[in-house]
Amino acid sequence: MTDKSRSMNRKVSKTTALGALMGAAVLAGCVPTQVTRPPDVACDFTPYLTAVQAGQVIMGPLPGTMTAVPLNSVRVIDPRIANKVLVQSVAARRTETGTVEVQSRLINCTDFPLQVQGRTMFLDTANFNVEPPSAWQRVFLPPRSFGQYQEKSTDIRRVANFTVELREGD
Amino acid sequence: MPIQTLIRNCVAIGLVVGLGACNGPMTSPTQNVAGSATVNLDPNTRGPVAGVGIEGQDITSMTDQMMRDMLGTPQLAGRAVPPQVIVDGEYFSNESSQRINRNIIADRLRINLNRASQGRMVFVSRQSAGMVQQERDLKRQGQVDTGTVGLTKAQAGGDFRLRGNIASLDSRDPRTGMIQRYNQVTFEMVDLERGTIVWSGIYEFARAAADDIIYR
Repeated sequence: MTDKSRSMNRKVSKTTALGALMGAAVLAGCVPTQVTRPPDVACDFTPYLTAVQAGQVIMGPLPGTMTAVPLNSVRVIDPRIANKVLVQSVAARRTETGTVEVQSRLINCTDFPLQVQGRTMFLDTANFNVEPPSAWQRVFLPPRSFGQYQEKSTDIRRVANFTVELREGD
Repeated sequence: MPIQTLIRNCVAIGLVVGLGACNGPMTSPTQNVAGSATVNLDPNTRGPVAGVGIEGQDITSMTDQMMRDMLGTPQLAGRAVPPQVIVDGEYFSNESSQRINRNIIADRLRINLNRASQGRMVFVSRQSAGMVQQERDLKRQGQVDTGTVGLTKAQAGGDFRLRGNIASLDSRDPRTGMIQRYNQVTFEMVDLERGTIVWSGIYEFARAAADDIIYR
C-alpha cells in the first residue's frame, strides 16, 4: 500500500467516523425520551355536560375540562407530523428594538423532506394575547436534518410568554 | 275539404306541436348539476382553488413577516424621534407573469405596521396629499375653521419610503403539462434624503402543479 493510498484510507475512515458521529447525534435527537414534548391539548366534556344537566346555562372554564398547555414551548398540533418532527430547542431573546425573538430548532426524523408551518402567540404576564398570532410561516426540513423556525413579536413592553404551534405545510 | 282549409288546419297543428315542443323543457324539472356550497376560509391557509402563483396565504404571510422584521430593525423602529415613512404601492412594481393588485400587499403591510408600531413610526399618507391640500386651502382661505390640531407650515415629508418588486421565473414541461414557478417579492425601505437602503426583506417560494388555475 502506497503512502498516498494510506493517507486516503485514513481520510475516508475519519470522514466515516465523523459521519457516524453526526448521524448518531441526529438520531439521538430523535429519541423521544430525550426531548420533553409538551402534552397535546385534550378536551374532556364530562364536567361541562354535568354542569349543563344541572341547569347551568352560562359558565366559565370548568376545572378538569382541559389539560394545561405549557408556555414558552413548541407544540406540534398536527398528528400527521407528530411522530416525524421533534423540537431540539426553543429560545427567546430581546432584539435591539425591544421586540421578542423566538427561535426553535426542529429535526426531521424521517428519510424524506418535510414541510412544516409554525406560528407564535405572544402573551403578557396575565396570559392575554398582546397581539394577533403571527401568520403561518413555512420551514423546509431536509431528510434527517435540522431546520429553524423564527418569529418576532411586534410589541416591546408587554410580552412575557409565548407559545409556538407547528403543523404540516399544505 | 277545400285546399285552403286543409292548409289552415296544417298550420294550426304545426303551431300547436311547435309550441308544445317549446313548452316541454320549460315545464319539466330542472336538472342542475350539483354545485358547491359557499364556505368561509381562513385567509392564512391555502384554499380549495390553488395554483403556482402568489395567493392569499402568501400575502398574509409575507406582510406579517416583513412587518415583524421592520419593527425589529433599529434604523426604522428604534430611533429616538420616530421616522416618517411612506408605505404604499406607488413604487411597488410587478414584473412577474401573474396578474396581481400590488396595493393588496402594500396596503396590508402599511395597516398592520401602523397598528403594531404604536408610535415607533409615523406614517405619511402620500396618496391623500390632494385631499389634505384641499382642506389646508379651505382653512387658510377662512372658509372653514382651523380645526383642533393647529396649522403646520407644510404637509409631512417622508424620511423613508417603501419600494419593492414582484418577479417570477416560469418553466413548463410540455410532455406532462406540469408548470413550475419561482416567485420572488422584494421589499426595501429607501432613505429619501440620501438614497440609501436602510432595510431589505425578501419573500420567495417555488411551486409546481399541473392544475389549470387562472389568477385574475
